[in-house]
Amino acid sequence: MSKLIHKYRILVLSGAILLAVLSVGQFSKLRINPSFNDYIPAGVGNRAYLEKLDSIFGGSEKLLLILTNEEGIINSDTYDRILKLTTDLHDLDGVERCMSLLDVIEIQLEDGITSFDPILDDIPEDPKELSMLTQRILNNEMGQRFVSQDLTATAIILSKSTKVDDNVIVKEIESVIENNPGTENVYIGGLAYVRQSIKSYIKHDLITLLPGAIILMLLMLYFSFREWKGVFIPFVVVILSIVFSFGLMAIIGWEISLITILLPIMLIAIANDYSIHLINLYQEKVEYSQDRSMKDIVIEIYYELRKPILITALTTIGGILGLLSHKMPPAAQLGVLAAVGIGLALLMSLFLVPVLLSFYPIPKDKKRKEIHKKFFITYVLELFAKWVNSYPKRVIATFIIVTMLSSFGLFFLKVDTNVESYFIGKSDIKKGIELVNKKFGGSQYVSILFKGDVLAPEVLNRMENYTKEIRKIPHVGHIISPSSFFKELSKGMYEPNELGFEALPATEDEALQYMELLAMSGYDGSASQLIDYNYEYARILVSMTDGSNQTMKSILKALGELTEKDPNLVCIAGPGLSKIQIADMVISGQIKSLIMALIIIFVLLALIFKSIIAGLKGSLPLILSSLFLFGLMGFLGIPLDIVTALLSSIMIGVGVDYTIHFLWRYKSEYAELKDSKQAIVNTLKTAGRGIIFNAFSVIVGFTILIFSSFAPLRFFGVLVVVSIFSCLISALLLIPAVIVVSKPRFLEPS
Amino acid sequence: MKKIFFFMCLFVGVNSLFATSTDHVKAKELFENSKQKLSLKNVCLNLDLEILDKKGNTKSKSLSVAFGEFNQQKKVMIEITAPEEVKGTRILTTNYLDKKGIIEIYMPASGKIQKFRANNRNLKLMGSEIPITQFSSVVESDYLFSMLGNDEVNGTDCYKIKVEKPEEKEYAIAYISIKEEYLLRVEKYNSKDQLQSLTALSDYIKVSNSNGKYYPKSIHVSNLESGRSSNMKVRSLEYVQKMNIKNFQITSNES
Repeated sequence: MSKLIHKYRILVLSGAILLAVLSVGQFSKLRINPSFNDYIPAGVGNRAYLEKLDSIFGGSEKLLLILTNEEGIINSDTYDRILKLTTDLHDLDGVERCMSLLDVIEIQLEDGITSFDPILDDIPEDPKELSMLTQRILNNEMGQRFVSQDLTATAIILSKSTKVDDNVIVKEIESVIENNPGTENVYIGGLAYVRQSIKSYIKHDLITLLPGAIILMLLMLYFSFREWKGVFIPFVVVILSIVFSFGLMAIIGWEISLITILLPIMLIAIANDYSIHLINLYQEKVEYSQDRSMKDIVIEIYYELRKPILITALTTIGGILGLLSHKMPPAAQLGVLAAVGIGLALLMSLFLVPVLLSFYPIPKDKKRKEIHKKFFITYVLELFAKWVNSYPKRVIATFIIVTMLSSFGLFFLKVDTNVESYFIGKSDIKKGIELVNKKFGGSQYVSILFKGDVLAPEVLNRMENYTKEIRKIPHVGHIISPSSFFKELSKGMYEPNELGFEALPATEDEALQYMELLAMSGYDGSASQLIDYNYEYARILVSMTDGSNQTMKSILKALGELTEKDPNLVCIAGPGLSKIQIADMVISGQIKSLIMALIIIFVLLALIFKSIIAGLKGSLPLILSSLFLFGLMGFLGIPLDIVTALLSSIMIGVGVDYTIHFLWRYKSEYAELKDSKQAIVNTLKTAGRGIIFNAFSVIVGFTILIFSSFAPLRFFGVLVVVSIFSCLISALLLIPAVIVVSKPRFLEPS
Repeated sequence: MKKIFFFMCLFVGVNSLFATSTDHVKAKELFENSKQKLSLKNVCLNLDLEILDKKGNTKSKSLSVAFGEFNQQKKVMIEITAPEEVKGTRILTTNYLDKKGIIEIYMPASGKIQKFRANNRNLKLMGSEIPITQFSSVVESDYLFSMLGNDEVNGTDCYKIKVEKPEEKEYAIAYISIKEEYLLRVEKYNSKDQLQSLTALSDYIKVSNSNGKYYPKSIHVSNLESGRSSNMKVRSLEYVQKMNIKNFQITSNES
């Protein structure tokens, strides 16, 4: 270290700058991917079925444009606008199908002539005719999918091609809307739009809120250390570790997902930890080392803190690597990137921070007095020391009671990976989602896929029975079924008094000839989403008015039970169902990563302090904080989702550091003083100060996320504050109280 | 000087006016001639139809098509001869001189006859991209024609004619060979000038005893929007001296 400080400090600094520049140079390769399906390993469950469905019927994902007009949508202005919008939307490359009220066909047999005519080809001026037209639309099964019952909203339904990116198609749709203005409000709905909105929300919030969080964190650091180097040095370490990690992400080619977006947040929370403790110790040394050079002090703090810093970093990396047990690739990627980021923060704290510190002169007397002026935190720490030394059992009992009480919240803990619930407030996206779900039976469709002689009467009859039964399932919106389709088609083949009217084809050949007739009429496009080109596959499409995991699971269960014995059933799948698979992965990943992280930390602590008891006691704050965090989530109704599920990793990463710093300092104080109570007082007043500065800089920074308009970030802000506060209190109160009560041997001088 | 300039302008203006008007007439005439060549009478065709979707799935059908004219009513009877499931399906198109035509479709499975109006431009030949009106010579009177110049189609010099309806933004461009006045290619464009479908007619053969009628042995239609395409190949073409009207009648099973 002495050589490094005296000879190579410029080289170290230049190396860091060069690496940072090279990393920033890679940023252009970074891509954001908010797709949820990508979180599921390919070729498994719903994702594999979806790929099959897409290969048979084309894009399964629907995008909806909802036009609303409180005065009604059956008027010539709205008609003209729908016509213009559908014409333009139809021409978009990423749109496989575009259907609107104008595509609703009325199949009739009148005067012996069959007609497949659009139900709406102009708007009659006569009020009587207009009223008859609206009735015909509302009574038409296909029409019901395109207008709300109160006739104040109409939908344009687009099938998105799997080849087009969300950002491209959404931008094009928005430009079509802009080019066709009108009096109606236009809202967009559908998973692709939701995903794109999430992407822009993330970008917007990161651009506006994250800098705010960093500024607040910097102010907090300044008020803690009362000198700019106490702000600048931890900040440099955090920024560089973020820059290097993202550079690595770009080089590997991993995409920024809803999960990996947590990387900078994790690094802000963890990476400054080590430098804060170095600054804290430097300030301590400076107070009593008036005649020494800065370089000497820097070398001294390096030797004093290198071990606890190395240990805390290793345990944090171990905890974070618990994420590797997640099945979701982005979660495992986050584990690797955060581990690398923390590893780099460790190296920078050990080598770059001393180098940077060595450039500063020793503060003048006046400044030193200002730095060490006793302030509020010192009183709080003294109070903590008093409580712990006087009432250690009460402190432990309080922790146990609070943990037990909050554990009840676990029973209320929900898992919800429904992206529609991520939006709060009165945003257009939220309104669009509500409109689609309330008035248009929802945008999330499930397909029940059948294979075989799908035009055979027995198969069609079974599908008809399923259609009738599915209607009875709560929260089911629209059902688009081949059997309903054939029944509608029969209206053009038979007179109302004939047997075949509104009935299924009597033979397979008849069904086939219906299809041929439809193809001849040029309306086979409307059948192509239900029956494939070779009449080998058929599907029933079911929409859901509520996209929550609970509802979807119950609908899926009901559909499964209904069709389980069907010999032609291939699968039940849908774009919205991926979230159920994700939810299951979130739960199992959460449990596995928590257990794995705790085991790693237990083993590391046991090895470091050469005691199994140390492993157990050191893990105690983490176990209690985890129970407290998840219990509180249950009480507050904050669901476990793909973002909040990863909180425990951050908590473990941060929480274990506080505990180790405390234990390490206590051990050295106790070795010197041989008095446990005084050692606790000294540890709290010295290392405790650093721990508080560290925790508060993170807490204050993340409170800004509470102002996010995006639910996961808002919840994340609340939960980071809660979890870090819980770890802080555990490290400063529970750990010393346990030491006082149990007098552990692993903390005795060896 | 001013007078000379005025007369020059007048000359150029009148000339171009006449030229444009002549072009329109010529374009319409050429288009109608080419369609007339396709209009057959007393002829039986046997053909194979191959329909491909965008994923490359194929469906094949064999058809027999008969063209007849009785009491100034032009009739086209199409019968599906393969595959088995749709064999026996018959489509009869009748074009009346003074009223709108009717398309009747007999479906053997139900034994019923479905009637459609012949002006339904959506009607296609057995799920292919080939419009049923392909077999009709009727050129609707409200179409506008304009000459766009000359172009080459597979090495053959052609007239390039724009065909459009006054109230519609979509249009078609027809390529008619200069020498034989065969319709060789039809391109259909949407309102944004994007090519939507392409029809290529080739291998014209003379229909003997048919008073100068020709028919393409191969018709290929590709729909760029849906990714579907259809190939129609004429297997045999036979002139029938006297067509029997009974062959142009459809009766249902009940009757």
